[in-house]
Amino acid sequence: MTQLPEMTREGRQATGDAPSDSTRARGGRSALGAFNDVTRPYRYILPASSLVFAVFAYPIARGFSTSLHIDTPRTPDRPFVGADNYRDLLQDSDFWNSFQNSVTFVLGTIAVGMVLAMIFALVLHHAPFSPLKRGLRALSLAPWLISGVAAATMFRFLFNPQVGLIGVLDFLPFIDGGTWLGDPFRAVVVIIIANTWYITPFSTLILLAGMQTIDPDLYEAASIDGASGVQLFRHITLPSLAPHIALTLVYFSFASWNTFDLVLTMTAGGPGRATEVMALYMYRLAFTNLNFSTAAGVMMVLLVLNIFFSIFYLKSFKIND
Amino acid sequence: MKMSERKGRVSTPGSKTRIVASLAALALVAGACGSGDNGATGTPAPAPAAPGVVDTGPARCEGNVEITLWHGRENFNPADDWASFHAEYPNIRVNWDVIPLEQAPTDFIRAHDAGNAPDILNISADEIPALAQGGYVRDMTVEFAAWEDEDSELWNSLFDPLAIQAASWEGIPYGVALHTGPEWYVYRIDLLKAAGYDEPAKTWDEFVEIARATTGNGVFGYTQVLSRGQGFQAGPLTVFMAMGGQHDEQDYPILDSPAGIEWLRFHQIMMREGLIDPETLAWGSGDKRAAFIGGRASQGLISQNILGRINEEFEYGVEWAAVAPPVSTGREADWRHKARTWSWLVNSDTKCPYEASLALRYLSQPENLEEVALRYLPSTSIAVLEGAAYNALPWIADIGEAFKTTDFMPVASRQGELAEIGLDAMQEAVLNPDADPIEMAKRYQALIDALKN
Repeated sequence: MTQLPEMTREGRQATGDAPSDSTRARGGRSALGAFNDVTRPYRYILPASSLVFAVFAYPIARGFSTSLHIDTPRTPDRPFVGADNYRDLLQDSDFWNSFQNSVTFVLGTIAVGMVLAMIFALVLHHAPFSPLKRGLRALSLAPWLISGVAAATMFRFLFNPQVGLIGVLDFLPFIDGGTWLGDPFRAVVVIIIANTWYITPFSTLILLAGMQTIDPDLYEAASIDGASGVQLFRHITLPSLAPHIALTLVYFSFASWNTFDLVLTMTAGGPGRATEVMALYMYRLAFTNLNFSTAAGVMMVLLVLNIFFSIFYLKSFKIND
Repeated sequence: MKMSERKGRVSTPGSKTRIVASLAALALVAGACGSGDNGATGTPAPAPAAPGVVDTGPARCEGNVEITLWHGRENFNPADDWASFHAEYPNIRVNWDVIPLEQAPTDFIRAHDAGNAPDILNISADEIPALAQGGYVRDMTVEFAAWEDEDSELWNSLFDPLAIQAASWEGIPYGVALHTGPEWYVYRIDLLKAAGYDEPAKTWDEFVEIARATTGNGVFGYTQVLSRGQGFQAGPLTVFMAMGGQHDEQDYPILDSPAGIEWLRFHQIMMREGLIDPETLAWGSGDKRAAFIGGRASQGLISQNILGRINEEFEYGVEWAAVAPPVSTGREADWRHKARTWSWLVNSDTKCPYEASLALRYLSQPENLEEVALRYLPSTSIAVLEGAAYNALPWIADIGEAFKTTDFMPVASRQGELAEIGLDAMQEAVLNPDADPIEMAKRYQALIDALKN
């Protein structure tokens, strides 16, 4: 297609004819038609893209602008300060603490969540009895359908040593009847468990959908060649699922970097600041300190992290579309 | 301040000053009405009177006026639901909504910037400095002077300093604080008696002794929220001030002081000796009262609005009681009891400030405040505090006198950041019960000092 204009020009040069008026007129119409052809898709998506711009792009642009000013109630004139807010953030130990907590939280959730999502997807995919499969699939989505606050409240009860399930399990070696949410290390473990429980179902669905698109003939051919179950999984299932694994990682990462309601309800960032993740730190800056500009800076950092990791996962699994 | 005392006029102007203030207010109102779309609807007042002509008060809006109001909790709205107000002022329509206290300041600031903020905003007193410094709320001196002139009985029924000073910043009143939440020392009479104590603690040393004696069998000697789930003002600062803790001239607490060190050490003792539920590090605001109401704690400092709920579980005077918080030995004279307040402030962009002040008068009427006070939070109305219904509550006999000396909780200009530092200090103390509280107090004092101008 890219050679078409050249060919036309060459053809015109080969004949040595100057274009007639009618040809020019046709050419004019063709130019208009070509313009229409080129712009048509954009015109079709204009309403949707305008909505996306209004809902996403404008707030992001406004947030970025806010992060370049001092925006607090004490400074109603909102002076422009360039990158000062970002410089202050990088020098703020509370910011780095929240960043470190978020990294721990994201990595922990991905590590545990990916394994569980894969296991659940395999179980659902290979469940032998169709009604059972459908029932399990519906049941597996249940955690994802309830609110984050409700999930957090439930986990608070579960990990209360006096009235929760954890108190019943104190015969296990690593459960000593002590506090979980009141202990800085254990609290991190609990919120990773809660977050994993909360967001794994949707990841399971993504992987399950991927498994259902794999051609069964591949498994049959490999089995005839003597491949074991592990080999089938390693050499057929995993490579075929690459796009879905990438999407799952994007989802896990995105949902974990931005987690807010679970942590606020379960620990409010404590004890100390042991579970204060970046989204909660941003909330505190904006809603407690009324420091909107620095909070906007944290928002931009979160946005960049989310974009970076999304691209990283998609590139790692060679997904370009 | 004694309850029987009546406050003076806020920034009481002299007659000449008052004329100037009135004219200035007229000019301001006229300017505000002509320059923006914010605030109440209605026709602004006519232009100010010519120089030398004595005006009779603040400008009134003409025609139909609509006042918008954000309550922080639905419970704050009187049961009358403005019916009597609308009957008295048929040209003024008050439309109210509920924007939770936690998000009201940020929502208000954003709405103000967009030109569609409500005329009246209900917030916790913690947020007043930020709104006042940013010019988001209106100096109501002139309108309040008119209030005092036109309805002195109602004006004088408000209990200052809680009512007016608590809704002021640097001497300028921006609204009225109509409800308050003092915390009281509540204790289980039966549990204390079983441990050999016939009386509640008079000092914090006795408080710790009783906590030790009553801890066990699923009961802790103290209930308090030590997580980040509850603000610094509610609970932690009440204990600090009852221990004799002071604030500096900019209203920042002085942590590096004997009281501040005792405050940190007190929390360390509670956690180190297991006198408080270790889960408190993850508690929400409701868990403290739940522990007491659920019979899992023998002592605590609990807000007055919860006392009625406790009374549904235990019989007052037999199983539980409430008194003023203890004092610190050797610092009895420094003991202070202060309460948080909830204020209704007027938008700086309102077109009809006088009409907004009429809405505040409605909320301040004793019958409305009493109705809210009996089912929700105590009011700052002397008429209510001295009323029969309020005094019929069984615990008033034990806390009523102390209430008369209750002042409003100091609020610093950077209260939000201060609260974070205070919570950090308290959490570090309970997570490191063997650490040196003197060093800790010095370190956090440096952080507090860095907030000051």
